[in-house]
Amino acid sequence: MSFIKRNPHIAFRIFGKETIIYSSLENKIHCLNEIGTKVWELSVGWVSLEKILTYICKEYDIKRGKAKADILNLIKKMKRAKLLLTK
Amino acid sequence: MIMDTNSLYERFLKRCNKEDIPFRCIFELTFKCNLRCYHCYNNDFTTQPLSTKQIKDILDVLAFHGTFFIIFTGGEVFMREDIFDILEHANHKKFAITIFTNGTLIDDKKAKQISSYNIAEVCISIYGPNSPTHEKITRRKGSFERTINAVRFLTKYKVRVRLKTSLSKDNFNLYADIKKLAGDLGVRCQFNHITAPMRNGSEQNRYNDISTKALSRHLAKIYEEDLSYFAQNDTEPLEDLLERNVCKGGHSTFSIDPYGRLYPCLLAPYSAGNICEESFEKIWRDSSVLKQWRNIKFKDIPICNRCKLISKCAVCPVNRFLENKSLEPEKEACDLTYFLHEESKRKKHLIKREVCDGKTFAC
Repeated sequence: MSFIKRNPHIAFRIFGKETIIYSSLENKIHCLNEIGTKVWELSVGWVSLEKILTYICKEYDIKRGKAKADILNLIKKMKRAKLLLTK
Repeated sequence: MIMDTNSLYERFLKRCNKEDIPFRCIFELTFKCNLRCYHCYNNDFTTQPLSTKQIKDILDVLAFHGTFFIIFTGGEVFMREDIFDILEHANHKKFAITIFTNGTLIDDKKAKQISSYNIAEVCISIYGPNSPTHEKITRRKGSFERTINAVRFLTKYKVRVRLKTSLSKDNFNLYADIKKLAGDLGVRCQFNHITAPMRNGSEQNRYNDISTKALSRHLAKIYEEDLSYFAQNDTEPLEDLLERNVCKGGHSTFSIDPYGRLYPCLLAPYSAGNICEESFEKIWRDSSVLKQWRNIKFKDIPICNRCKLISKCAVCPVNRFLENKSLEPEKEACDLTYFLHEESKRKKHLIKREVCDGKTFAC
């Protein structure tokens, strides 16, 4: 898994630093916080994990190791919920 | 944690109400209907409804301003020839869509098409477990079979369906059969026995209503799903609750009728403005109707503001205005709240488990 993209069939709305996502597949509402929202915004088309990681570390001044673990965890959850596509 | 289905969402909903984010819209696409249900509250069929372009433009504006959940209702929405254009556009704009329909115009092809959109739920009205009982209320022959077929088509394509039933003197004793029918079809069902008065305040659609008292023997079964809500302990101090707004209408929810008039909610008697004549932003920000609506707090509600069950009661200013021309409580709603509270206390040990087992959000 090196690239991710939003599932185009998912309903969502971005409210500044928060994103609300509804998945009709699971009938669940997901809520992303500021960093989650940034990942969601970046994944409008296929985007590399490397690019996301670099952006988040720079923007939020987070250490790469910590950011990588959190973001991979988020992407794993979003992939499981079919919100993101990966390749 | 940066992804969450629970606490962040609850906090977000509070934010919507506090900041007046128009998050949820009920959009009536037409008042035309092919059935003639006797309890229907619609009474205005005089004006030319919005065109496809006007509806699409409105959806664009709503998406821009943060509306996410949209309920398309009528009349019967599938009476509109452009309904799939509208659904397609709403889907493209990333709304989470719910459809209220009688189902009679949904065939296999349409069900398949519906399944391709972001549909949270299709709610289908059903009034009896068979043709004679259902059609006594819809007053249209053949409607039962067509409605049931729609449920089958939709579930075949994995669309989430819920049956909704208004109970009256004609069908209250059939609720168990309707539940069984829903179970056989593999869908949920929901009942309501308190009919909304007509929009003009007339009670002529309520001649067959059944009272809460008359239903008392059946209420626990009819409102089974609501009991878990009543069993939850209050977390908010009463003094805080009294300062809170009574309803989300005009804060995070609103409705638009087939002519573009915006209301704090579906049955509100006064329009806040017409979205085809003024900008949504101006109506949402400046309308005196919305301002008044937003200012109704629990402490302003006579009788209820001294009631120990106020936190559990569905205090609905609109129903009160229509029924009593004031904010005084409706007797039927009071009786129902009192009953459900007593019943939930009696069955608390059983209900608690259902609450703990709840894993998903209904929307």
